[in-house]
Amino acid sequence: MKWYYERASQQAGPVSESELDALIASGEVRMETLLWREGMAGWEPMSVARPPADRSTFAPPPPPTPPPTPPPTPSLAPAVGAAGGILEGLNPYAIPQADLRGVEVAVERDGPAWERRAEIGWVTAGFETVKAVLLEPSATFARMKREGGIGSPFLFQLILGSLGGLASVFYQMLLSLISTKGTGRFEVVVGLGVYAVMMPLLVAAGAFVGSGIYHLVLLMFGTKQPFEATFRTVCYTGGAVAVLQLVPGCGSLVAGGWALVCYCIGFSRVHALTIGRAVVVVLLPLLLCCAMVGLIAAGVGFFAART
Amino acid sequence: MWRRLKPGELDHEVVWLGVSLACAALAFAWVGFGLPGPSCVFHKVTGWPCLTCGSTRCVRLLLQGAFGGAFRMNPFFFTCLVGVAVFDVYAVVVLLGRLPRWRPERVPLWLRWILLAALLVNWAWLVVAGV
Repeated sequence: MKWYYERASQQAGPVSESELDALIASGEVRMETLLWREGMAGWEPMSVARPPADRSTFAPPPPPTPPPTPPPTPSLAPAVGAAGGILEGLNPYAIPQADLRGVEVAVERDGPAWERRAEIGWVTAGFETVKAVLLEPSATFARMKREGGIGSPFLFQLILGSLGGLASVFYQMLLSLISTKGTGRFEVVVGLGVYAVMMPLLVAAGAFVGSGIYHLVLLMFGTKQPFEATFRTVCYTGGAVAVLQLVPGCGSLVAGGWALVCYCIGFSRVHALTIGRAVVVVLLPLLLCCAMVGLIAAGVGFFAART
Repeated sequence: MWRRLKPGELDHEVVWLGVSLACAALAFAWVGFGLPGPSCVFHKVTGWPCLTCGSTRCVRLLLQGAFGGAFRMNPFFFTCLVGVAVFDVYAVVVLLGRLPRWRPERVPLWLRWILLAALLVNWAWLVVAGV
């Protein structure tokens, strides 16, 4: 008898009974992990599908029945070519994909460290959160609270995003001053100064507008999670990668790329999407609004171009 | 569906009214200081307008009061801005009147297809009009 199990919001398997016992013993499969085998109507947690009392005896396998087809899920995913989705839908005997969207896998969500800054200190909490998001995004977003107010993540993004943005402006100002002569320098300083003063407002507006756009796309893909979940993902990612802008030169470029990767992983873990769908969600607004990619760069680069 | 906010629920009317007003103020400041608009990478590489080309010019024309020109620059984006204005009016009304809020259960399938179709029709318009 072959078993399929849920791992990181994806279908894994098939594994034999003895392999499943080994996974249970190692802790990879727990009581709340969803399981499916031939004969079951749908995915069930292990506590129901294969309770501990049943493991020592093996009931005769039920007569083979065709696996249930997954329930139709209206969404625009096939229209935008989500990876593998179209081909799976054509095979009536395909193993049912676990519809894990909205299924709350029992993981304690209490993070990240920034949420506990009153206990451990602002600097420690900020440092731990940046490190966790940049180096362990999958585990971090798996444990991130989906709800609990927008104040904490917004503050994180506002502080670090503004610092990173100001660092970018400062480096651009240095470059412009080196290459500008005479009264042109004053114009460069004034222009970039205006941009620097507007930076916190730009970061704040960007956090909400960006989250809003991503959440609209996620709604098109049928997410059941609230806007707060998206906002938290965007803010913790944005704040963490903004630290990379402190590196002169390539810092901003690396920050942009790293942010896209973290968004994909974050939306996958928070909204229980496959990685393929998460990638489409992240790239779609960029493809639609490619001019917006240059908005911030234009504001800074304009002054360099005038030198 | 129309309902009251649950305790601790995010007040979207306050949030998005604030965000839209802040963005409007930013837009005024951006244009007022003569900061440059973005250039479209897609247009530079292919010579064709992207789906949102003309949005910045639409905003500039709107700030000058040229509504007809703003609509022709990017009809979909102009309609979105009108939608934001309508939402702001709704938000002010429900906040001042402490009225129930509109909270849809989910985005209906027909609305998703209409939005996709509108995006594509808008893109076709941008190409034909040479925006």
